[in-house]
Amino acid sequence: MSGKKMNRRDLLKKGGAVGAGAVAAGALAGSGGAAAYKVARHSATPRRGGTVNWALEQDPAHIAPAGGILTMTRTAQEPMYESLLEWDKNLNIKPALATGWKVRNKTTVDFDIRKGVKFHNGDELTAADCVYSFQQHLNPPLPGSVSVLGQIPAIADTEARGRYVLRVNLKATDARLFGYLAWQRYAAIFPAGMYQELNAATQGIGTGPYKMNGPYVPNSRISYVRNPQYWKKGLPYLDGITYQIITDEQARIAALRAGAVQGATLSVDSARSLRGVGGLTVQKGLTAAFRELQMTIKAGEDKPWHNVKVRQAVNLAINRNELIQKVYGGEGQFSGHVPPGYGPWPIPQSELKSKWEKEDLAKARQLLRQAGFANGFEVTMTTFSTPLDFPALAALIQSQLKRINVNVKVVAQDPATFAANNGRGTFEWDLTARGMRGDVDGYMAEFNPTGALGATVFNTWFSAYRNPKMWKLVGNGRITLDLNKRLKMYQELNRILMTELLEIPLIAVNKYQVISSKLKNHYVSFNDFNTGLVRAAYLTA
Amino acid sequence: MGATVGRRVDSTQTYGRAPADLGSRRERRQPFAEPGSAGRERQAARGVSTAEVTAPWEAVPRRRLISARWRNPIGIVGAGIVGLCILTAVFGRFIWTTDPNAPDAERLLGPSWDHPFGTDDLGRDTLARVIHGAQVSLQVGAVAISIALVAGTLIGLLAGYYRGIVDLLLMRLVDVMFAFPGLVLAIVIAGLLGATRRNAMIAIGIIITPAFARVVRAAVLEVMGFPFIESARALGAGGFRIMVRHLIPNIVAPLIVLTTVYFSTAILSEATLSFLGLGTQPPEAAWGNMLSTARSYIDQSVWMSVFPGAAIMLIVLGFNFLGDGLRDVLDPRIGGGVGDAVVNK
Amino acid sequence: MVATLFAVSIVIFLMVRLLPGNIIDIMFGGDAQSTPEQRAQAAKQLGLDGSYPEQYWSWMSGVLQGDFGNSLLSQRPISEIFADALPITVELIVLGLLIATVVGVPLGVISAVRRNSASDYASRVGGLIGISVPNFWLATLLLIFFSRVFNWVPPLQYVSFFDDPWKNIQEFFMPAIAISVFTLAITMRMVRATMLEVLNLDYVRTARAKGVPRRHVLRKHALRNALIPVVTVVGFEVGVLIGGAAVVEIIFGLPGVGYILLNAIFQRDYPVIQNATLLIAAVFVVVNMLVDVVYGWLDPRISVS
Repeated sequence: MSGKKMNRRDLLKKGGAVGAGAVAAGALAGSGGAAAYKVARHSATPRRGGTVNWALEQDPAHIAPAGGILTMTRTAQEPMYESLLEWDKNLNIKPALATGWKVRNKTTVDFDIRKGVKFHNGDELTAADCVYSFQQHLNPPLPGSVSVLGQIPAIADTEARGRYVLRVNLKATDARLFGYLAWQRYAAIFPAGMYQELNAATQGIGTGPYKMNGPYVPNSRISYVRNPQYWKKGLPYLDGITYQIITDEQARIAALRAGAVQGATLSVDSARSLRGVGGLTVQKGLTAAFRELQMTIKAGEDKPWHNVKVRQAVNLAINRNELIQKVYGGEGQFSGHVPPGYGPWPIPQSELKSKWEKEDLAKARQLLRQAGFANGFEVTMTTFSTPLDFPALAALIQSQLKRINVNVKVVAQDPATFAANNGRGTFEWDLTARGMRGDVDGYMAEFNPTGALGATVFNTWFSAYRNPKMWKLVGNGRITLDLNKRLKMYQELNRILMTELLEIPLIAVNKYQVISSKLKNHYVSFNDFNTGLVRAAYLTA
Repeated sequence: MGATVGRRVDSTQTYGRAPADLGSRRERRQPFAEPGSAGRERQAARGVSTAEVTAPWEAVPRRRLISARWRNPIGIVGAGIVGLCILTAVFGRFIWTTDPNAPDAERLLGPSWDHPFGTDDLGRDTLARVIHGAQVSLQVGAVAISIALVAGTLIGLLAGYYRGIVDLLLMRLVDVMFAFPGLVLAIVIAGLLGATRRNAMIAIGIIITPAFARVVRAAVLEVMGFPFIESARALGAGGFRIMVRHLIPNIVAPLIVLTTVYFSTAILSEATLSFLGLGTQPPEAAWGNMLSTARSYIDQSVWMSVFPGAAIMLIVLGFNFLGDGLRDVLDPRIGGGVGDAVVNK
Repeated sequence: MVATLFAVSIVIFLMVRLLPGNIIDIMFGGDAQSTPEQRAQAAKQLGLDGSYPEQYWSWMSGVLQGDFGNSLLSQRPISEIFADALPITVELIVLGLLIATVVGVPLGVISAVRRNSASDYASRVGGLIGISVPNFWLATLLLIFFSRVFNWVPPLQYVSFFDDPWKNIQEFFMPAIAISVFTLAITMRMVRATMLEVLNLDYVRTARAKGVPRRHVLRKHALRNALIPVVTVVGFEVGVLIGGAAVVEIIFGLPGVGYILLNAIFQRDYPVIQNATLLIAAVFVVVNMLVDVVYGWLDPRISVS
């Protein structure tokens, strides 16, 4: 992810042409393109036609565009809803429904809406539709939930300045805006008044490459057909996509083998067992769901890990290679606080392996001794009881930490109980997975108690921890629009976090999707959805 | 499945009298028979004067109990199996010392000398885990039964002794619990309390309590009609004394049968709950959650599914055999069919 | 009966709210980030902000009018959710009962008639094994057997019996067998016991002594009396089967009432938990009442109070 250097003036003036707009998650690489969208070249000529049946592993509950709490909700609606910007395969920000933008001042950004885009009902996309859409996102009506607002940047409101210009007014300078839009998860654009016209939980009208073919049938399927008026000329290649909801993994495997579906997400073991089966291709890709060991450092308690040396010792005693080997079949990477693959923001693998996350039992013991815990201590670590790799990881960590006399008691909880305890901070340690964010600030916000969200985390988890330097970096990172400056800040922040280790990031894991060999141009998307299918996949005969 | 409890043990209210009159026909035919606990409930339910009934339970000579056992092969086999399981649970880990949580071996192996039951998805020894699972099952079963025993006996005693409004309220509570199929109630309780082993014990204990309560109450009602109770009262004995000295000894026999019978229910319930993710959680080994994990690896190792399930079946079988045998001895006239449908699952 | 159901509704309402973890925690916990204001707002949005009596009344008044409210997670009307899920569970239970009765009754009769023979002994032991097998293990073994030996797996998506009977049978036969085994064993044991009694009755013995052929005796007297415990068993066993159905629904991926309930418990979806539990309790109570009626009709000597 190397790229050209941009200075501040370029950024502000160019007004967001492709590549220059990469102030959030996304590489510096700018292809400099104009507003016109080019269809990517392939080695073979893509064939138009065919319907892909894809097995979803969870019922999405609903497919309303605003306030969906389940990742699967976005996955299920992805074929039909898009936003102003989008990510390419490498998380570079590209124009989508907006052709570009101009930063007017610290809290105002104007987006140019692409002309001639038609919704699935034939109406043209205008700024007024965008205003309506963002109104819903900022106050999600049922079945959406207000709990997603933490993922949305500080947008005060939006207004239409003419038919094709959308003005976004921010409450404060917020660099997260562009990544949020490109992520699209909480930024879908739909026609004004849509929630009054149809049942958004099971139906929808968008601008995406596919349109609904009948409503979503819960626990059963969602059917899409090609949108013939899609604004990216020549796309999509497929005649349709049907999502079949098959929650049982064995049933998904059976369906793949029988050819009843042409793609599904599977666990690592199942996917690997299908390698070599005729007619099927196993694909993998990194995701943002890195595993992490979290600790609470609460005022009024006196725990060994309040001492940074203890935390560092724990980090040094963990053998990440063994975790990757035993639980993920050797396929995984080391992770810092920003997961690998997330644009230019994470610490490089080589540095993680050689410096920050290198196993060193002798040093660990030494640090513990210095902290006064040569005899170790006891601690309770909660984790999810399902999926099964969490208790497996926990068991391994337990045996690894025994070597430095830290006795970990593993308490596996069902996801609801775990989430409750996690949210309230009623745990000593926990072992969890993080998720995708629109902007890198999403991985740092919890370390700054001056933001609204950071304050909650601070009060429930870190009330006994002080580090003004860290806090300042996080706060400034969010309001810095200049990419280079921001990169530098976050690089420094990363290193501080790896030294202080308020949270100990462990490993990043792969997501596995098994597809029919006839499905081409598909990739496992980093962003938890099926973007690889929806963008430009096609079927050979 | 056997995990459901709360069968229609007769009471004077609600759901009618299904097996009652079967018993009455039988009783009339054989007036000198010693009716089993089921028969007693029915009589009590019909308010029959207990003068016709032969000696109370106290009079069952111990000699007869023991000598009868020898003639009952099923009961013996059951006792043997149960004994074996208890021994395995208590001493097994000293004989087979492999650590059930150590992921040291190669994954998904089949049976071998090193690993007689194979290994699981993390490379842990399945035999060691099955042994640990025996501990878990027996512990949960014992605690759950104890809860049911104590709570059920208390409720039954109070309701049967005091009658009136106490009886009405307590039995209404019992009826509410009977309105749920047992397993569903256990799922709801364990799920909402939070999925842990301790909560599973509580949930299972709660769902077995009504059955104990009803049987105890029926037995108490019957004994209360005996003349010697009235004389004791006339002599000034208080409620507590009567309960302890006279009532409890008379309900011991049916309680023994109930305990063995419902122990298997408790174990099956524990396995089902942990299978569903509501009881003992991984990585701790419990037969149910081992089976649940094994489902994801059917393609790669059938063995993971075989041994925990066989273990469950074996121990439940043992308790059922034992229960059958005990019932034959303590309730000689019940041919092992009506009895267990009434008192059993 | 109505009083019991009301009591049940109160109990389940309280249980669901007093026990740890609620859906707000799920939404905001784990990896999400939130502020107390947002939590309060979410609570309001979901109707979880009133006092308990208020929430109870708003639930109950709806139920009495046939409106069960909406799922907290999907906002889908619960009556719709049940309309989809009930046929599956009902079919499972009916099939389970059918197998249990059709196989269990004859086995019990044979076993009683050939008392103390080898086949009787075998069936006694078989019966005990039948009540000992965990149904989820049996279901798993069946799946393994068919997929390994016959390379066959059941169809994935639920189809109703009326839409495609053959596919429906394929989907349901394994789960139905799995849950029927226990009830089958119980039925067999009960029938055997009753038959033994009846065969011992004086008037039967008299008839036999007079030379009336055994078959005649069986048909006229014994069989009729054997039906009585079967009816009784139905009453008990519906509860067992409901529980068993929940487990096999999960194993085979059939979205019936048990499956819905279990997921709702994991997701702390209160309305679904409350209504599903109430529904199951109501069904159970009604079935037991029906059994009493049928029982009274079968045996004229019993009066149903």
